[in-house]
Amino acid sequence: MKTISRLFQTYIQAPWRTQLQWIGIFLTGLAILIIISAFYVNVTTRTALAGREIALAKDNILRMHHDISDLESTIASQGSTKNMQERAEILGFKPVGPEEFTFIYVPGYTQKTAFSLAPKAVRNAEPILLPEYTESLFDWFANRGQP
Amino acid sequence: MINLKRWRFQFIQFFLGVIGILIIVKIYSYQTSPEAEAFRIGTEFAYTTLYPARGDIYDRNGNLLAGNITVYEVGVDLNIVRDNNNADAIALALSVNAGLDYADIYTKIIDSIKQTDPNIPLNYLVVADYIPADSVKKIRAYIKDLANKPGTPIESKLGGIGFKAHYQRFYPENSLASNVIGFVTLDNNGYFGVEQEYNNLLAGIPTNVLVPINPNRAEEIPQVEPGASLILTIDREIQSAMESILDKTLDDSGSDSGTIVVMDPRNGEILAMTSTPRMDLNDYMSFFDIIKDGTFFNRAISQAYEPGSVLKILTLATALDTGAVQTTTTFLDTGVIVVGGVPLTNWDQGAWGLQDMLGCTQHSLNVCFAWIATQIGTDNFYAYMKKFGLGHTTGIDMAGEATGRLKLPGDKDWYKVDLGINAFGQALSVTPIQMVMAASAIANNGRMVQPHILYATVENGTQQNKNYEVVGNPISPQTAQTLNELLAESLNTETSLAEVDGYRMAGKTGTASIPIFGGYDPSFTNASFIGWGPVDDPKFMVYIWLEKPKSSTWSSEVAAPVFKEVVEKLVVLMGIPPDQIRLQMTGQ
Repeated sequence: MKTISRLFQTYIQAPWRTQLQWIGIFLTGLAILIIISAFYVNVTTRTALAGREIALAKDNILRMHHDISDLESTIASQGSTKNMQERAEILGFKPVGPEEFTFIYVPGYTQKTAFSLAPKAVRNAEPILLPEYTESLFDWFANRGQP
Repeated sequence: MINLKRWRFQFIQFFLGVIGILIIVKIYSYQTSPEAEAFRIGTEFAYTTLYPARGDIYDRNGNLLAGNITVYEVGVDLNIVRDNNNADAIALALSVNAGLDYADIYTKIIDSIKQTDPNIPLNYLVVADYIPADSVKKIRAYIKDLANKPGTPIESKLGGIGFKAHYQRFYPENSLASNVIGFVTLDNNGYFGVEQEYNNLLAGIPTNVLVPINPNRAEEIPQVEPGASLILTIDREIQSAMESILDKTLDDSGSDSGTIVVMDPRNGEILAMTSTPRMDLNDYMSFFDIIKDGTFFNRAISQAYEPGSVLKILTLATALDTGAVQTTTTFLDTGVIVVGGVPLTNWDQGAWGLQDMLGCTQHSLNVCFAWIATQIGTDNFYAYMKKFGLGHTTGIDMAGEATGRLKLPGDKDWYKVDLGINAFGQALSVTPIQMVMAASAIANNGRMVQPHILYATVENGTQQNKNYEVVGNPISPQTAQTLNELLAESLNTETSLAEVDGYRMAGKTGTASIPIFGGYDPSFTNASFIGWGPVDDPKFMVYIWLEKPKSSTWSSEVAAPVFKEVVEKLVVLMGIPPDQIRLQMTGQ
């Protein structure tokens, strides 16, 4: 009660000081709000940009898949048996018969192995990405506590 | 003075306060309006169809047999076209650059504009699909030219046109191995062969999805996994060589159709499989012109026929395995034998006198084999035929396999004479692949392997190789080895046209009468040949079937030379040295 009456008295005597205090408090709050908003806008913008980049990257991946398929098909078409035989004939090659073969023994030589397009599937394989790249800070703390 | 200032301050405070409140109210009303909601939905998500790639198909050496190419769906935004009044320009551009029908496209666009509500934000019309990338490239260049040309009226520009890329099946080898691969139609469904058998594995299913446009939700953009890729056991070079040989043989012999199967008898891998007719898989609409009047897409697995004397190898295998005969057992061929009250004769109606099992096989004596069947006994004979897989599908992983027909005692149409006739491969029907599977037991020390076309699947970045399956042991290893030797001896001494210098092969010819209504065709035959080698370590098994050859009705004259030609190609393409060199190398 005493404080309020003192403030009231002060306001009566020098209202500009109290007003300055309020304005100061308001401006401080506003500055904090602006700073927080700026951070928010900054983070949001960067997130949006990253999201847009992800979307574009996914589009590019899709486009590249199409390009890869087209190129594979083009190469396969150009290297088809019919085309290769025609090219070989133009270059003067002819099919070889069994009587024209000369076999020689080469120690250590092994015949070509089976074609592999991808690594073999392994059960319980180790993850490609280490946990350090995927776990959160909390996960990291939690994992440190484990033996 | 002080009061005046206070009034002014209070007024400005009040005024700014009201303005501030009005701004907040307006912002709130904008945010909650129906238009804002529609805009939000429109900018948050887009409804679209994702077309995943169908899995590729490779041969065993990694050569692409079936892949994908990019084609485009061309569509127009009807609202833009209505506003720009450029339907004519779009139809003209598509007609000139993509070869589409101008009138068709123009009518389609105009009719759709008339039928649609201009208040609906997006009115999309697909005007054409499966447009090649080259044509789309031309159209895009044309659009760019128009945009850069100052003064072009909006009616002449191509505003509102859009392109959506997706995949279409492409076969770089055209007709090569077409009987094996099958084809895919525009609806992404596989028909025949591997395309049908593994359709679910290969097909990436087009999926309708909501794609978030909001960049903050980029992680939610759905990804549709492509179909699994397949690696086949087929060897492209061997396949091509077999197709060339078959085509040449049909020309030379005048046969109605032909089939060649090459399998590795050790593991059942099909190295080549071809039959006629074949079709360009990129032009699958030609199917109805090529495969008609009951023609089979792949005779090797789908068409059962009476194989004739090639089946004698199974009869002899049964006899040796049951102990009914030994290789040294002799039979006096008088030229006729009565089984079930019906007299059966040899192919030449002749009597061949005293013969051992080698002689019976060399001269392919029906009378002798009918006698062998009687020695085996009805129950044993049919039990073994079933063990060899006759009358059942082999389970080969290709669509459209036929079972053939093995009549059994107890069936309404089985007669006692059938035992004698079946022994030399008549009055029953098999597919070439059934014969190959059954004979694999002889070439493979008694182990019968299931024929298969899939070598491996590749999915999610890993390869899963298929293991081969032994589907039975119909005969003992000793029987298999004995018969192997006998058939090699038989081939070397009798069927000289099938012999290949430097390589010892085992095999058997088969000339079969063709059943017609009320009996057998007196004019035409089916000529078959089954053989494998090298005898001591078989790496390939070959089955040849020529339907109604005209140059000769006898397999020994028309099919045996084809076997020789096939083997001469195989030993080169598979790098198999002549026996003498191979044995020397093994010694080193």
